[in-house]
Amino acid sequence: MRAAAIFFIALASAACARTTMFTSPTATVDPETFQRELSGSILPGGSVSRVFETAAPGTVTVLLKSTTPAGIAVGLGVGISRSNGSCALSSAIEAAAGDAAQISIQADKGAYCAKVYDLGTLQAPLPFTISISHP
Amino acid sequence: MSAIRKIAVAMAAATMCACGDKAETPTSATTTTAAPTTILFSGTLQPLGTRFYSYTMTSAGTVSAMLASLERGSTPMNNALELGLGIPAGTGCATSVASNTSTSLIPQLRQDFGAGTFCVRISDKDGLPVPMIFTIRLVHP
Repeated sequence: MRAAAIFFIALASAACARTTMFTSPTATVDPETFQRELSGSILPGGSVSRVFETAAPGTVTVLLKSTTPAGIAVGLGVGISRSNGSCALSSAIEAAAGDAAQISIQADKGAYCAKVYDLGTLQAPLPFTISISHP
Repeated sequence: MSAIRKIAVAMAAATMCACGDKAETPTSATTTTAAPTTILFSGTLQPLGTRFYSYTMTSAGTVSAMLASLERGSTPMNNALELGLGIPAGTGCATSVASNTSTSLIPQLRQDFGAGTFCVRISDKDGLPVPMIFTIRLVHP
């Protein structure tokens, strides 16, 4: 009888093992980052902007990937869209494609815009491509 | 039934009971959260000037305010301005919290408020060289 009792106690322990097994929680951060490209053409004196939305607070990076012809400096900025649709800049740089120059800025969750604009030097439309990386 | 068999049946039943509680208890969590309201407040700030915007909250919660942009023409500027949150008072906005800050895409102010009418205020204390266009993003419950 003692053997039977020991057997069933062991059985009970085994049966309950799955419900008493603990795993230590590990804090994880979703590393998902969205990257997109915007191509267009800037007219002399003009600008092109694009709205994007961050799903979480994090780093927003904007890079001028190319212009045609190469080596033309333009303004590159990140900001927030006004109610009239224009892009109100928070940060901007002058950049030429191929430079290491890029904008990297911390942003809260929400809607933002990237803008490429003429610095006052363009004599003809300038095709360009930028990449936008954000959480 | 032998004594051993009776014990076996009893212990098996006890085992099932011991394992049957809590682990399988379903709980239905129902959470309803109203989407926050986002307000964009843009305007021209004169040197040593003040602008404010009033808004109404129908429920209590955290308000965040972000001086997101300050532009001279279309060039972003980093002049410091005073950004504040408070309640309308007379023809102005009496701030209960304020920060001297330049532009950022991270809210510079976060403050809990109850339901009611409140305001966000932007002031130039240092003297801008020229009028500039500001954009504030306000998020409230």
